[in-house]
Amino acid sequence: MDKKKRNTLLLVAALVVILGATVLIQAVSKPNDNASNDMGGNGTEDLVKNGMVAVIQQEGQVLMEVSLDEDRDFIVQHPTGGYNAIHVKDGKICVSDADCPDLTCVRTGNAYEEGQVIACLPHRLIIYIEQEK
Amino acid sequence: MNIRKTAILGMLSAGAVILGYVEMLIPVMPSVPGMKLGLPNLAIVTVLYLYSAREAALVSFVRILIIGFLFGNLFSICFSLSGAVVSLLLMAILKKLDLFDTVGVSLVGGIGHNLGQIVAAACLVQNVRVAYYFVPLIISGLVSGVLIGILSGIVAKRMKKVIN
Repeated sequence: MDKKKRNTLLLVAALVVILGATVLIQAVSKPNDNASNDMGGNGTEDLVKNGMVAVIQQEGQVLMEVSLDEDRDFIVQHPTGGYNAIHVKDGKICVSDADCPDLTCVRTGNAYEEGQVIACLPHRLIIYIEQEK
Repeated sequence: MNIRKTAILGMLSAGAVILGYVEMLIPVMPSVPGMKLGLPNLAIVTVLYLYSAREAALVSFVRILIIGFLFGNLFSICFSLSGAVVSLLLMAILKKLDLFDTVGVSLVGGIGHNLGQIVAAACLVQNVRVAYYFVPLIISGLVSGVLIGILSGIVAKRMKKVIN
């Protein structure tokens, strides 16, 4: 086999091993999390309080921290005009509407697990989930 | 630049624009922002192998400008450039080193594009937490890079016969 092809195969193999290991480690390190989020689907009115907060940061400054255990809707305005409508329901947060050109933030959908991120780059907005302190 | 080269670069730029448009029509996992097929890279890698990094950069720049003016804005142009610059730089270096074939070069380009955009995104929102999307984006860059690499290897080989 020619040398360049062999090198490429080695590179691909190395990357696959590294990425596979990373994904495995990530999956193994949070099974407890999923168990506590599982509401069992038995239709009880009581939502499991999982104590997650969403931190909303704009232009590098934290605007607010909202608990995901309380349903609410509000709008975050950007100083130069423009907005992101935020929707919190059933322990999940999402950007339900925005006037940014790409709407990536809306398409990202729900965030509910620790570490998850929703970003709206045109509005310099980032929403990330943390465990409540 | 002779006439033939101008024509071929123009054609490949047009190809890159079309591929960029097709890519926009096919969303891949909207829950991971920035994940895309990387189709325009097919034209870029082809130019890189037919000519050199300079021509590849030219075609890439023209493509980003045209797609940006047609469907985006100044912000999307700058954001595309942040990925393209890193991707092109890495591919040019790798091609110079002559260690890998088109597949290796293209996959590093794919990963480099996502890397550049994550860094740009982190700078924009002033928060490194956007790295949450790092692993899925690297995986998609790897997969699409390999596929695009195989294709562009074939395209470059065939086009070389026509050019010479």
